[in-house]
Parts: sequence; C-alpha cells; structure tokens
Amino acid sequence: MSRPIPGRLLINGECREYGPGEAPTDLNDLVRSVGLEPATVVVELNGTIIKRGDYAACGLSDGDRVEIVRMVGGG
Amino acid sequence: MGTRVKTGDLVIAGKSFSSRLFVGTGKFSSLADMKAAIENSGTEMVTVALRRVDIANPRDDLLAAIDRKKIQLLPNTSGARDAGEALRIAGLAREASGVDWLKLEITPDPYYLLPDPLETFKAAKQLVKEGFVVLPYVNADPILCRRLEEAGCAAVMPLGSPIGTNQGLRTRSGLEIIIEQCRCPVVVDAGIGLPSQAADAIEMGADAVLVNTALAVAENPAAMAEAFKLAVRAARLAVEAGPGETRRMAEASSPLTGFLG
Repeated sequence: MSRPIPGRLLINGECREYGPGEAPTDLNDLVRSVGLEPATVVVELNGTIIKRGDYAACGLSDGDRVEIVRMVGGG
Repeated sequence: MGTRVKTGDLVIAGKSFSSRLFVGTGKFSSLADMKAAIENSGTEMVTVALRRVDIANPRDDLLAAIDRKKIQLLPNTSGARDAGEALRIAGLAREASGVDWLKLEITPDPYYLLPDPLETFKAAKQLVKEGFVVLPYVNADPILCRRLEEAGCAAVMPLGSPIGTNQGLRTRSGLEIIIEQCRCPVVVDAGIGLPSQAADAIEMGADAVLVNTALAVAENPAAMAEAFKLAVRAARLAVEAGPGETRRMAEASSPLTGFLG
C-alpha cells in the first residue's frame, strides 16, 4: 500500500523533492506527474520491473529509485 | 546453400514472413519518415530499442506509429555491454513491447560496436531458457552461429560490416559458410548500405536482411525503402528460379551449328 512521503524520489537519475501532500501516491500517479501515459511505459522500482497492472497498487517511499523506460527507434 | 529452403515464406519460430526485408527504426529524422519507410519497404518485422524516457522532454510514443497487426516487433538489447545488462534490458523490453522476441545485441566496444561473442552466447542460453525468441546479432563466425543454433536461438544475425557503416558484405566468406551450415534462418544484419548489397546477401542464400541506416540517412527514406524492397524481392525470385552455374570459360549463347558458308 502507498505510504505518504514527503521526501525524495530518484526518477531516471534525477532527484525530485516533495513536500507534504505533493508526492505522487502510486506509480500511475507518478508516471502521469511527469507527463506520460502509464500504458506507454515500463517502470522499474528499485531494480524490480513492475507489471503495468500493479502500478496503482504500488506505493512509494522516501529514497525510492524509479526508472521509466519505453521503446524508441533502434536498429 | 545446404538444406536452406528455396521456396515459400520465411518462417521464424513458427511465424511466417513473406517479406525478407527487416527494417530498423533508429536514426530517422521524424516519425513520419520512419512510417513512410516502413510502409514502402513492405516489411513485416521491425527492430526497436529500449531507452530511459527523457523526463524533461518526452517525445511521441514510437509504438503508436507502428501497425502491430501487420508488423512483428523485434526489440533489441542495444546499449548492453555484457550478458547481465542484456538480461535486464530483455525483461524491460518484453514488458514494454508485449512481445518475447528479442534481437540480442551486446556491444562493449564503442568504436566499432562489434558484438561480444562470449557474453552473447551466455545471455542467449539464459534467454532461451526464459522463453524468449532469441535472434542474436553476431560477427560472421560460423562456429559461433552453430553453437547459438544448438542453444535454441530462433535465427542468427551475422553482420555484413560494422553497424551504420554502409560498407556492405565485408564478411562474405564467413557469411557463405554460415549460410551453408546453419539450419536456422540466417539474417544478414548491419552494414548493408545499398539495395545491390541486400540483393547480394539474398542471392548468396541468406534468408533475410535487416537494414536501418541505409534507409534512415537517405535523402529520401521512403524511396530508398522501396528500392530495397524491390532488390530483396528480385534477389529472392532469382534464388527460387535456380540460377545457372558460374563457369570459367565461355559457353556460346548462340547455336554453334548452321554458320553461313
């Protein structure tokens, strides 16, 4: 379950600080907060791949490392 | 050409492909150019890569631009420098693309982007175990290709020359042996810069070619894609038609009797 933070998240190598009430509550919320649609990305939380269906149930804690990746052009 | 099938569609892991031209989606200057090139190429398989989203500047979603009903996605593991990194990327790519097909690509050397055979073999064995359809990108090493085939890879993808160099089939003698000896499909990948080089690979007996840079950097990617489509089709038709033998000495095309007295 989601735990409220204020605190820090490391998102794609970039540190973001959140005050009380500012932090995303779950992974769906976090992905949307950076302007992306959850259906188009994959999230790794502290090195573990999270299934898309589990984003809503996946809460965040101070210090979590989040990687948001997706398919791009490549050979 | 060994036991290579000389008629009909190409089949990889039970899936049939009528086009023998695979297309990479990197380096196009716009999604519109990429879409036009894919369309004109007639391809049924395209490679894609996995990357971190640039949070400050997220671009359009690539997958939305590809018609998944007609086209098989082949995610690659580009950026992997060893087997561990390839396995991590493979897991993420499977989740992101929804397919378990994988172009296994491990290139620790940043200058020539040549694939690491030991790490590739190690990763291939593990990925096959995990249920991936594995198409490894390798140097044109016949023994390595056979080992990868025995390990359960669905096809092998030997390079013609280093990635993005447009140098054509510089590894010809290795490619010829791979085509002769491998029973799994052989896809010549990397370095093909011109339609004639793609045709050459198919005429040598390769089952397919993968082309990216040649299309993406052309002044007119859509037109170049059509040129490649026609070249690959022509070459495949020629293979199926059964070419005559090469001879050292002349053999007259005109009758040798009935000369005027």
